Amino acid sequence: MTATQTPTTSDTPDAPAEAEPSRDEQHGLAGLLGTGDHKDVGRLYIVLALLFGGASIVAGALARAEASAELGLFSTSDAFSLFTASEVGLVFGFAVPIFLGLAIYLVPLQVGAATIAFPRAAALSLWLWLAGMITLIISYAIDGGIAGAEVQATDLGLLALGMVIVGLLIGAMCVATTVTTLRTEGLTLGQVPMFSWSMLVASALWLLSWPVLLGNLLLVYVDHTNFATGPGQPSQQFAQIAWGFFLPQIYVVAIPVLGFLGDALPAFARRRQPSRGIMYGAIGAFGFFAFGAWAQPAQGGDIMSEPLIVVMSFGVALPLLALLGGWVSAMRGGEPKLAAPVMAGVVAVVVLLVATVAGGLYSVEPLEVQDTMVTGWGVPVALLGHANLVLAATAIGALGALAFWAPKLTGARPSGLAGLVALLGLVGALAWGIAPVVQGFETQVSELSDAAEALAWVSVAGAAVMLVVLLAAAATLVSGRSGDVADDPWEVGQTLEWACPSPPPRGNFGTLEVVRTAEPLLDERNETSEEER
Amino acid sequence: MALPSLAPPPEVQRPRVLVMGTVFATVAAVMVFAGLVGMWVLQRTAAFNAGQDTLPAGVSIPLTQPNVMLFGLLMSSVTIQWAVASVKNDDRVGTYMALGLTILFGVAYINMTAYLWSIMGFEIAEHTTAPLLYTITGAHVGMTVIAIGFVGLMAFRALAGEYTSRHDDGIVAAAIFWHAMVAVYCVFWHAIYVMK
Repeated sequence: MTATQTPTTSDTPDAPAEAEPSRDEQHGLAGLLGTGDHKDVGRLYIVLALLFGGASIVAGALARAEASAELGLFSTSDAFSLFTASEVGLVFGFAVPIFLGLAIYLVPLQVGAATIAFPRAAALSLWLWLAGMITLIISYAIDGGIAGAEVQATDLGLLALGMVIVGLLIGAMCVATTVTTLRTEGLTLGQVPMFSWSMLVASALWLLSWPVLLGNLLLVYVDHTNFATGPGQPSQQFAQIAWGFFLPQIYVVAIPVLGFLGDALPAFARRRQPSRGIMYGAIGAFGFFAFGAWAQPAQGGDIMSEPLIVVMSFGVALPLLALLGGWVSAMRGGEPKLAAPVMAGVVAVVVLLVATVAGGLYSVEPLEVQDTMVTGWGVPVALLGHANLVLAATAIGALGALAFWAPKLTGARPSGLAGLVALLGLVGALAWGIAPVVQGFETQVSELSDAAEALAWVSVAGAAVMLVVLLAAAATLVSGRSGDVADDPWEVGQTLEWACPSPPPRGNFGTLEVVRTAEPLLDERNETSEEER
Repeated sequence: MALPSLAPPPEVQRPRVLVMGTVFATVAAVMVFAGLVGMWVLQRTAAFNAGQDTLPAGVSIPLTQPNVMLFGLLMSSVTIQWAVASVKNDDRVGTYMALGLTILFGVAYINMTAYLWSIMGFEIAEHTTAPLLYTITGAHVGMTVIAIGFVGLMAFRALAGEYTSRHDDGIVAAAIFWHAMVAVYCVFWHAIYVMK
C-alpha cells in the first residue's frame, strides 16, 4: 500500500488553482501579483518577513544604543519612534508573518489539500500586509508612525498598522479554515501534524487577541484625528497598544515554533510521537496562557501586580515542560539524529524556557523588576528583555523550520549551516534578552546601575547576532544544494508534505489514499521494510 | 407493481469551507467589540467609583432610538433566519424576500444611528468618553455595512441559482455574521445606551 500516488502534474479535479489555467500560465510580475497559489503567497510572506525582521532588529538596536549611551545620533523622541517601529516590525513585520507564510505554504501540504482555503483571500492577506508595512515605514519616515510628531503622518501610521493587522488576520483565517475543513479523507483533527495543529492554535489566538488591538488602534485613531484628550495623545498612543508587544501576549508569536519541533524531532528520532493527545493539549495550553488581551495596563488598575498575571506568567512554563517531556520520550525509544533543524528547534525551545523564567520573575512585584525603565521610553527594561527572548526563540525556530522544510520550499536540500548558526543564536538570544532582564534588578542590586550602559551594549551585540540568524535563515532559502531532490530528502518524513514532489506542483497531490494514522509515511516505510523481510 | 428503488448512496460530506471561514472571521469581528465595550465598562466603573457621570453635563443619549434600532435588528435576525429556512426548503421567493427585508432592516439601523449621533449633541473632543462611544457605534455601523454587503452578495448568488437545499453555505454563512452583528449591538445597547 502506498499513502499517496506521487503526481507529476496537478490533476486533482477539485483544485481551485486548476480552474484558471490561463492565470496559472502567467509568469513574471503579472504572475506574481495575480497569483492565487498558496505556495507563491507563502514564499513571498517568508522572504518579506525576513527583510522586515532584519530592518526591525537594526532599528531596535540603534534605539537602544541611543537611549542608553546617548550617542547623539537621534533625539529622544526619534529614538522612541525607532523603538516603537522596531517593536511593531518585529511582531507584525517578522514573527507573525514568517510563520503565517510558512503555514500558508505548508499546512495544505500537511493536511493533504490541493490548495489553501480561500486562496484569493490568502493573496489579499499578503498584499494588504505588505501595503500596510510599506505605508507604515513611509509614515515613520515623515515623522509619523506611532506617537509621531506630525499629526497627519501619525494618522497614516495608525491606519497602516490597522491594515497590517487586518491582512494578518485574513491569513490566519485562511490557515485555520484549511486545518478544520480541507483535511484529506481519513485525516481527523486528532491526527493532523503538530505544525498544522500549532498553526490552528496560533491562528485562533491571533483571531481572538489581535482584533482587540485593532479596536485599541481604532480608538487611538478616532481620538487623535479629533484632537481629543484620550489615548490619541502622542504620549498615550504606544501605552494604549503596548500590551500587544509584551508579556503575556508576546508568547502568541512563538506557538508555531512548538509545532515545528513537534514534527521535526520525532521524525529525526525515526519514531512515532507517544502521547500525541497530551502534546496537542500542551500546545493548546501554551496558547491559553499566551492570551494577553485582558492584561492592558493602559486601561487603569495595576494589572501587572495582579495575582493572575503571576499565575499566567509562571503557568506558561508548564505546557513547555510537558512538551519537553513528550519529546524526550520520543527520542528515548528511537534513533535520534542531531540534524540542523532539530538543533535549531531545541535551541529555540531552550530560549523560550528561559523567557518563561524571565517573565515569571518580572511578574513578581516584590522583586521590583517592573520599576526600572528604559530612559525616556516609559517601558520597563526587563519587559523589553523578556520580549526580546521570545522573539529570539521565534527567529531561531523559524531558522530551524526553514531548514527542515527547505526541500519543499526551494527544491534544494539545505546545508548544515543552520545548526551552527542556531548555537550562535543561543548566545545572541541570551545577550539580547537576558542583559535587559538583569538590568531590571537595578533596584535590588545597586551595582547594576553602574553597569547599565554596558548591559545595553551587550543587548545590542546580541541583536547583531540575531541579525546573523535572520541572514542564515535567508541563506537557507537560497544556498541549498539544488538538483534532483527526492520527495523526502531527509528520509525521515512522517507526514503528508513529504509525499509530494520537492517543490510541489500546482494542486500539490495527485490522488491520496485514505489516511488512517497521524504518521502515514512512517507507516508506509514500516510496511515496506516488513515486506522486504 | 413498481418495486421500490434502492436508496442512493449517501453523499460524501462536503467541507463547509465558507461557513467555517465566516465563523473565524466573525469571532475576530466580535473580539474588536469585546475589547472596546470592555474599555467602556471599565471607564464607566471608574467614573462611578469616583462619584462622576460617564457622560458630561448637558449630554443625554435618548433611549427611544436605541430601542427602535434594537427592535429592528432583532427583526432582521428573524428575517435572515427566515432566509436560511427558505433556502433549505428550496423556497426561492421566500429567500429573496427574507434577504431583501434583512438588508432593509440593516439600512434602517444605519440611518437611525446617524440620526442618533446628530441629536446627542456630544462633541467628540468634549469628553474622554466621546471618542470611545463614537468608536464603538461607528465600528458597529462598519460591521453592519459589511454584513449588508455579505448578505447582498449572497442574495445575488441566490438569484443566480447558486444556493439550494443541498448547497446553502453562503446563506448560512451570511446569517452567522448577521446574527453576530445583532448580538454585538445587544451587548452595547445595554452597556452604553441603557447603563450609560
